[in-house]
Amino acid sequence: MKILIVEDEEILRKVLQEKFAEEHFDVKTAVDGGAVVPLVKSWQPDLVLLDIILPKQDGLSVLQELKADADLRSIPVIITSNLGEDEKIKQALKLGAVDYLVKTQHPVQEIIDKVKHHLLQGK
Amino acid sequence: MSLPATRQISKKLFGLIVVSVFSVELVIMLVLKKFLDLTSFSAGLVDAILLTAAIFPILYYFIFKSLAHRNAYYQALAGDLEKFKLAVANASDHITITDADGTVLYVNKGAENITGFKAREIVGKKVGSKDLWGGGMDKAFYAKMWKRIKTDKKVFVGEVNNHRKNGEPYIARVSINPILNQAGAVVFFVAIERDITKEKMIDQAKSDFISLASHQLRTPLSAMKWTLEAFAGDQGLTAKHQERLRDLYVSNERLIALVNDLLNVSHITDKKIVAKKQTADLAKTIKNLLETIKVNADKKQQTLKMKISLKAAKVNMDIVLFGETFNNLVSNAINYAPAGARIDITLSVSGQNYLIAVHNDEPIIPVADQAKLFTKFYRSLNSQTVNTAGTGLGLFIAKAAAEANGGKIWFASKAGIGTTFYFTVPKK
Repeated sequence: MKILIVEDEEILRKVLQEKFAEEHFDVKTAVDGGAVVPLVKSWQPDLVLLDIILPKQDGLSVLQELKADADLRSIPVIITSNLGEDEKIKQALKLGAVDYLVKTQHPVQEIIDKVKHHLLQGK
Repeated sequence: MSLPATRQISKKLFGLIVVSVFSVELVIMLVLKKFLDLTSFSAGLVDAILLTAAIFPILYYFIFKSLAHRNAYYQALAGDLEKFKLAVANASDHITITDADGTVLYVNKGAENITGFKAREIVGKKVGSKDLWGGGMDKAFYAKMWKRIKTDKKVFVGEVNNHRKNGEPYIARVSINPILNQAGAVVFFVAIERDITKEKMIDQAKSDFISLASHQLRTPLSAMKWTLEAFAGDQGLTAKHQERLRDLYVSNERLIALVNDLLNVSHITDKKIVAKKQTADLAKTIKNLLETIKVNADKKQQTLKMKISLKAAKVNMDIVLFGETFNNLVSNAINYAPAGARIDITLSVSGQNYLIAVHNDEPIIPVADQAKLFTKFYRSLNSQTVNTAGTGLGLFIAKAAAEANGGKIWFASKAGIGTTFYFTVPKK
């Protein structure tokens, strides 16, 4: 399974990449919002893990672009952010995210389990 | 006609009556003179004059005294009305008076200052029209507002998006009061608006700052959290290494919890708690919460005993807020009760509410601490001895969450009985 991890914080990106690779996922990463849509178009991941506060383009506007594209809208997107306000969560879910995980509230293994759960649901 | 003018006419009339009476008396005396001698005539004339002179001042006093009192009353009233007129005219808030159809009859200086429109541009037009400062809300908003003030004849209070004459948008808190006549029909509306744009901007700036600060704090905390988890899973670590990693992980989790608590507290202080209510079963919600929290009780060999005397307890509440209150109270009981203790959780009915109680036999809360227990950052001395890690925010948050859900929270703590925390949730 192919997973795109969009995370500008190096340490977080490193841990996620390592742990998903251990779970036998094919992992690519992106460090800014501007790179996401072209990469998703070219690589067609099975799921995107998307941060919100990103350089060049914020995660919610990236999400909006992905969902507006007929070829890309079916790819599930999970938001992983440390912004925990209800309004942000509602906004992300309204834009089409399948889940919203506040990073400090979930061990890495839970993130992995959520990804597996949504991939299974997608099938 | 004004009262002074009326009084002048009354005085003239009185004077006329007096002169007329004297004149009639004189005529009568002149007629009687033919039949009376001069002495009797003169005596009679003097008597008549004296009698009239005695009676009329008395009459004058009683008639004009009441008039004088009424005059003083109306002058005082006119003075008060003048004060009110000056107060309204010069108030800094925007005050508009319209007829029952919303046509402006009067605006004060405050309205001119806030909107930028002059009174002559406003009077005679429909209030809230796009030509003036209104039209910034959707149709449904205005329909709801008009229904409330005109059909229901009740006061409307709300926030509206307006614009000044120069196009600059602003936010106003508006209160529209229908004024009814004796028949109960609306004759006027009085609208008072306050420009709250600056307050809103400050609130937004605070909110943005807190959001950013919490995000910036949480980022390195989540990096540490996940790195420690990854580290703990690495091969070749000794038991000592694992222990140190666990200590680091626990400290990091405490920091994460503190940031969460501080964020909650800032929301509470800014009055941002908005309960998102949904139908829930209290008994089921409590059981679910206990399943998670039981892990902490097990570590101290404590027993969580749930007593529910109800088959169903359907409520309309914010489940997350309920969890904040419940978890704080049960966590406190677990943290402060000794190892092996039993903690009782009961759910029962109390009038129009459901009552949840969390009880532990010990410790007792010192009397000196009881009054301040729900205040921010307050930690009693014995709590600091038992659990140095607490932030002093848990009960503050628990109280705010319980009240946001429409309930109350209180406690009782006495030697020989134990400590019980109570909170309520209104029945559906």
